[in-house]
This record gives sequence, structure tokens and C-alpha cells, in this order.
Amino acid sequence: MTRMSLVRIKTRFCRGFDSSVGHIVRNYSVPASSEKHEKKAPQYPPIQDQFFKERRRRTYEKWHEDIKSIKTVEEKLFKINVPRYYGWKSLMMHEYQIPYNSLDQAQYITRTHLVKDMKLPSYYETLLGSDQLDHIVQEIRSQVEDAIAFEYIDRKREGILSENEFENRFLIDSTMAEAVVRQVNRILLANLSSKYSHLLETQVDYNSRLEAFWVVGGIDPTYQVQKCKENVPYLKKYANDPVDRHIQYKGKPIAQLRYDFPLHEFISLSESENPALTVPQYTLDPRTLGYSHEWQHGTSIPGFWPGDKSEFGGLSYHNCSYLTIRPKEYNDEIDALSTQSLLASYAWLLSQACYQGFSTFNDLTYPLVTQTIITNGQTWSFSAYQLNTTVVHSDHVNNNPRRNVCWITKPLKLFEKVENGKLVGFNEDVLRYIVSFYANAPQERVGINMKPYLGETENVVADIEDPERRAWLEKHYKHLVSNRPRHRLRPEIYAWQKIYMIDNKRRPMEKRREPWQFNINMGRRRLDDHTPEYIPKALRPGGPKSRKKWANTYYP
Amino acid sequence: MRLSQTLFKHHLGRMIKKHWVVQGLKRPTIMYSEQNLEQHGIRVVDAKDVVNPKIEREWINIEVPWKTEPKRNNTHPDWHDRICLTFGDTELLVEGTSQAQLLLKTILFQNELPERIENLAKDQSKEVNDLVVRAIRTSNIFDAHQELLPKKKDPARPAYVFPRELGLTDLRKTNNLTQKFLRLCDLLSDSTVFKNRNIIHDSRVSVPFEKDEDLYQFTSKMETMLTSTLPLQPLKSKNDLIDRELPNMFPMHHSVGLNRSNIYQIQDLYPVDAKSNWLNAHTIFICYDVDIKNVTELPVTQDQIISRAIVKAFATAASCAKQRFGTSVKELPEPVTVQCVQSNGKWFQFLVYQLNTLNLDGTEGIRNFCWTTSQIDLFDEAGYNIGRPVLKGYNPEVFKKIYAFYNNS
Repeated sequence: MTRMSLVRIKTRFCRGFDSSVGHIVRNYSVPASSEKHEKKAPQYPPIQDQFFKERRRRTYEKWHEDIKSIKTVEEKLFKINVPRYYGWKSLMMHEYQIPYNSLDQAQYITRTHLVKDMKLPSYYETLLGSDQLDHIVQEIRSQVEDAIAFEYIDRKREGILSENEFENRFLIDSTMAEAVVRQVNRILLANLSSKYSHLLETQVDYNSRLEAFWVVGGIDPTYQVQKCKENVPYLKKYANDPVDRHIQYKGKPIAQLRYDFPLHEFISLSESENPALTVPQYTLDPRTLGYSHEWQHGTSIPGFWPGDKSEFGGLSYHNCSYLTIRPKEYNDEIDALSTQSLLASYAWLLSQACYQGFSTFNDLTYPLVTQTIITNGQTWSFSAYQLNTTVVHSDHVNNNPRRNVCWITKPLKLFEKVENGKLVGFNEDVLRYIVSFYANAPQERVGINMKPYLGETENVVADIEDPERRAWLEKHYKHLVSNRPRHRLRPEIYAWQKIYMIDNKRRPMEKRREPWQFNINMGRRRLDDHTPEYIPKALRPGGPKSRKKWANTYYP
Repeated sequence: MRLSQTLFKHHLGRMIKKHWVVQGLKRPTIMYSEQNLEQHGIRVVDAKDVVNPKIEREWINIEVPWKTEPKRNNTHPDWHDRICLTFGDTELLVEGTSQAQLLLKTILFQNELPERIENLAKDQSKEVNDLVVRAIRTSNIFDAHQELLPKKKDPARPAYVFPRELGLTDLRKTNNLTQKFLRLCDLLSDSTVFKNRNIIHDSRVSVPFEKDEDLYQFTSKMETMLTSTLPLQPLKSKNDLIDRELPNMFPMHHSVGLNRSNIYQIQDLYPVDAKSNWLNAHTIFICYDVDIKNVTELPVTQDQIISRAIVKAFATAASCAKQRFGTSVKELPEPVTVQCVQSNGKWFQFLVYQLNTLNLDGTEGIRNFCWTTSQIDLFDEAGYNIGRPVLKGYNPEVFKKIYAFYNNS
């Protein structure tokens, strides 16, 4: 339809008239009469709740869908970090710093049900016949005994540890734990590889890098958050609503065994929706336990970069020597071990799930399983963990029907003491547990799409065809997850500025330079909010005279 | 805000400075009052001396509850009048293999390994090589460790500062490869061989000895050490090649470049107790790091890298011999043989050392033997290339030799 102004009238001469008087419009080429007068039912878009909270929920949902639709693992993990230039304000959880009374909180933030009877799942009873198990244990018992006796008695560590370090129980325990784990793992792999083919191709990593990042909802807001919201009229009624927390876990396993296929599940996904699997509520600020926050990019790394063939965890060994320096008054050894194994297992499985294309916003379509051993060389505790869900953000932390499940045994002593060059009171039950963990063979999940949210041909960045984009993503992903400090510090309001510039305006004539003086919230700066890399004239692809001044960026 | 940062954002310094400038310009008027008073016989005393008379206080020595580093002079508890020449983990012999030969009275067979080991090195099947390739990919490409790598330097423009990279250090790569290769050897070998071997991580040997009236002490840290229940059989009779001449380094002395110090502790260290089943050092795995440099800043030669492995193998063999036959042993009842694998995560160098005697005086008499290969590359390239993990030019020779070393008895 053509619109044409015939007469133009200045609007200021028409104060008394309707504001539409500005143009007089005549429509041309309008048919005098339409041939068909079909009455179609009008198609309206769905009516959406336009309240603030609902609009914000939809924004986040769209972001989660965007992450789901990305084709490669690295880009998905990258995308989670794009909203923050200086990283997320994350709750830092280090494996060997377990606060007092933190088991409930660990269960709540991982939505894990802890099986109380201190036993492993019944699946292990059917795994190996008792005769077969006894036979294997008898075969390797003397080797294990000799190797452990060697580490405790014959091995001299002068020259490696100094005199002061020999008095440090923590250091001695962690050294012994590592040495014993290496010996036991070596003996079991060598003896069982002929019987179990999955052990032949397993990848063993020592001291690997274990990191996981997830978002938890349902945490009570802090006083400051409440006050901030109360000061904004449209947020006032949401002042007491629970908030989300970003959690960054960092672990240090002694050793990890990885397989090409996942382990068999203990319970089905539908069984995990059983309400009898209770999860305690712990909505207090995690800082009440002693944790603290740091600004950093969220990283999920199960010990290897995406692209390795053995991407499913089978077994991981962890160290519990921190118990020696834990105050005796706490008297919570079992709780501490449960917390450690629960968090370590969840973090490892979550980061593996991320490599399958899932994330803390996109839930699993099949369960993942791992086994964890925590030891100081003498005392061993065994746990099995099944990851059924990864989504615990916002109100999912309470409404998600699925629960993760953790089974853990009591700490068992492998031997009572070392006397006259021999181990006294060797406990074969511990060896039985270890053997059954190694004998638990991974299986290919037939008929299940293992990577539903990844591309068909593009799973990882290395599969991308465009060389420039591929190289850029590989380089910048590794730079991001290295969490290298930025060249310039994150801008902040210094104490002297708060006193002399905000609270008492003592410097009114000064030039305004700081971002906060222009109402810019630097905490909201996005990762891609920077000047791109400059291409020197000599290196420009179109020659020195070309206008292509800035290099491309490929932020997902 | 950094606590270390000193801030003068809000201060009155300008005012105070100006005040001092103004006051500094004032000239005091000379009143001659002191002279006048003295004329009248009145003694003039400084007011400060009357108000704050000087008090002499005693100096009290307080013993601090923490340990302080003793001064590095002749009051040091480890001070000895006799100088000791030491060789540690980050040092190199200036003159390379010829110096090592003279110092350790060793006959060197370069670019060859003993026949027995060559016979053990057999071609591996395709399946085994596939496992080795996978081990290399996991250790050198897919390991997600990120540590600060050594600074890069371009000799053509030494002032240019490269961006500091993060990634896998040579030490991490070597340790990864070693443990994966040893696991494969465990699997492929006979169970009796497996039971006779034990793997030790992070161990240190230290061996003091005398040569031509000088005192020496060699220490060496091994990332991985293979020990065995039975000692390795000697590869040559110890009386062989008695009349072969050692290289001549004149006018250099064989101790040139070694660290000379009066502060030292004489220690005989060996990581395994004398009563243990797995007493005998079998193979040592050492890492050659980029941080190991010449004091003179001259580029490190291949010859020096080989000599480093020779010294380390000697130190291990000598401390093993002392553990087996007593610390004062000079003429060994039987030779002690040790194998050594040196690597930086890319190339591997193999060495076999047969210690026949610890009497290192002069150049005559029984000599020790050493066989070495040159550096053999495990691959041409392993890492990310334009965003893709690439492993090029895999060389199966390396694993063949490691397997032969493992099975040698």
C-alpha cells in the first residue's frame, strides 16, 4: 500500500486538534471490493505473564535453550561464562577444606540422597560370585600385603622430606596414601587385566585436574540483597525471595580410572523420582559454614580436555589425610568423609556430563555412575554415586522430582598396624571391595543417544570446519578456563572514595573518571565487551590499505 | 583494594609542603644572646639535655622462637674445612661426556646398547602400538593441567617479551608417559617379571666418594625408579678393556665447573632399605627440563645432556652398591648395573651403566662401562595445531627399548 502526504501542516498551528493531524493520508490501490470474504480465526500469540519475575524467568529460560542448542562442548561451557567479564562470584569449595556440619548443605546443593545404612548398592552382590571373588582376593592378597609393607617399612624418604616434614602427620599421611594407592592400583590392574578386558584400555591419570561449576537456587538472600531490593519499588515484594548461588568445586584426586563406556546404572531414572529419597533442606547462606566467595570463570573439567575417547569415569581415589589435622572435638569423621565423597563424585560426574552436552541448565537424559575410594593408606572408605539430575538452579532445587543417590561404607582398616616388618590384622574385606570396584565393567548403552544436545558431526571444537573459528575457540576456551588474572584489576569503589566522594562530598571539582560515577556497574560487564584484537596493517588479509582493522571474534 | 597500595588520594600534602616552603624562607635573626650571657658568666645549656637527659640502656639479646638461617660462613653448623665438589639436579658437566668419563673412570660406548638388550627389543604388535599412541595422546595432548611454562626467548631479539603460556610442563608430560608406558610393560610382561619389579616415585640418592684426594658428593632425584628382586646381570667382564685409554681433557681438570663448597652434609642416601626384597636399582627415569642450563649461559649441548644421565646413573649404581656391600666398599665383589631413561616428554635417551669399581683414583685399573643411545624422538609433533589435536610421526622404537629395559634381568 502506498502512503502519500498531500498536504503538510505544521503541527504547532493545530494545538487544539488531535495529534494525528500532521499528515493527511490518502490510500491508493485499494481494491473497491474483495472477491472473498473468508472469516479466518485470528492467530494471536500466547498471552504471557508480563510481571517482572515471569519476564526474568523467560529470559533465563531462553538463555538455557540457547546453551542447549549449541553444537560443541567447549562452546557450551564458554556460553555459560559470557555474561560476566570478570567471572561469576562463585562459592569456592576445595576438596580438602570440609567445614564442620556441612553434610546437609552438600546434599542440598547437589540434590543428593545419602543412603543411611552404610552399605554399597545390592548391584555389587550380583557382580561377582563369592567363590570367584575369594579366588581373586587370595591370588593378590600376598602381593598387596608385600607392596604395602614395602611402602611402610622398606621405603626410605630421607632427602625427599626434610626433618620438619617428617613430624608433619598431614604430609606423611598424604604421601603414604599416594604411595599405597599407586601400588594397589598397579597390582590390581596387572592381575585383573587378563580377566577383564575393560581394564586393558582404561586410562589412569594421577593428580589430575578436577573442577566443576554449577548453579544452586533456594538460598536465603543476604541482608544487603534484601535492602537493595526494598529500595526499588517494583522489587520490594520480592525482597525475601530465595536467590541463586554459583558454585565452583576444585578437587585433587590421587588417581582416576577412565573408560570408553559408562558404568551400569544402580537404579533407573524413574526410581530416582521416588519421594522416599529424602534430601535435607539447607537454605542458609553457605558462608555461615565457613566457605567464601571468589570472582572466577566457571570451569568444568573432569581431568582431560574434550575429545579424549575415554570420557566416562570408573573409579577415583582421594586422600583423607586432612582428617589428621581436623580438630578432634568435631568428632565427625564419617560426616566429613561422606561430604568429601559426595562432592567429589558429583563434581566429577557433572563435569563428565558437561562433556556429553548436558550442563547445570540442561538436564541429563540418562544416569551416570561413578565409584570413589577415600584413603590415607590404612583406612579405606568406599562409595558409589549415581547422578540422575544436574538441574538444581532457581526453584528446581526443591521441585526437581529426580534425586541423585550416594552410597557409602564405613571407614574400614586395611590393616591394624605394622610390626616386625609385617602387616598385622590384614582385612580381606577391604580388598574385596576394591576388587569389586575394578570388576564393575562399563557397558555400552545400546539404543540411547549419549549426546542428544551436541551436533551430529560437530561434538567438540576440533570438529569445526572453519579453521579460523576453530583455532580462536580452542585458544580462548583454554585461556578462559585457566582463570588467569586479568591485566587490569576489577574496578571497585575504594574505601576512601566511599568516605570522601559518596558519603561526604569533599571533592566536587574533581574530574569524574571512575565507572561508578557514570552509573556503570562493572560487575555486569560481558565477556565480549572489549575492543577486538587489532590487525597491524602489514598483516591484514586484504593488504595494508584494506579497512579490515579488527580481528574476528567468535563468542558463542 | 590492594593492601600493599599506598594511597595519597585525599591528603593535605600540598598545603603542608607550601607551609614548609614559606616557613623555610624565614631568616632567624641573630641576637648574640649566648655570647652576652657567657660574658656575664652564665653557662648556657641545651634545653633538650635538661628535659630529656640521655639514659644508657643495656642491650638485651632475645632468642626468637623461630629458626633463623645460619650465616653461610665458618660459623655455619655444616661448615667443613675440606672443600666438597657437588653435582645436583640442575647442573651440567661443562665438558660433557669426556669429563664424565674421566671423572667416573668410565669407558663409553656411544650410539649402541648392549647386545642382550638389543635382542630383547622386539617389534610390538599393532594393538600394542595403538595403546602406546593412545597413551601419548592422553599424556601430551588431552591432559587438562595448566601450569606456567618457562619463559620463551628469541636469541635473535633477546629483549622481546613473549606472552607467558600456560600448559603442560615437560616434567608432567614425562611423568605421564613414564607411568603409562610402565603400566603397559606390566600388562605385556610375564607375571613373574611383574612380581619381581616394583615402582618407586619421587626418590633421591646421594653418594659421597673420593677421587685423587678430592671429596665429591653426587645427588640425584628420580621421578620414577624401577627396582627388582634380583640384580641385573653384568653385561661385560669387569677386567675387559683395561688398556683402553680415557679421553684427554688437558689443560682442563676433570672437576672443572663442579660446585665447590665448604658447607655440606655428607649423606649416603638410597630410597630402599638394605633388607628389602626389592633392593636392586633396575631402571631410573629422569626428566630433562628446560630449566637445566649452563651457568655460563652458553647453549646446552647434546653431549652435556648425555653426560648428565651418565652421572645420575653412576650415582644410583654407586649408592645401590653401597647399600648392598657396605658404605666403605671400594672394589665391588660383583658389578652393579643400572639402566637409565632420560626424557623431556618428546625425545628419549637410553643408557646402561655398569659399575665395576668405586676406586676412581687415577686413570689406570678397572674401569666402569656405559652404553648410550642418542636422543630418539617419540613423535614429531603432539599438541593442538589450529584447534585440532595432532600426533604426527610416531616412532615405535622408543617403546620397544623401554619394554626391553623392563624385561632385562
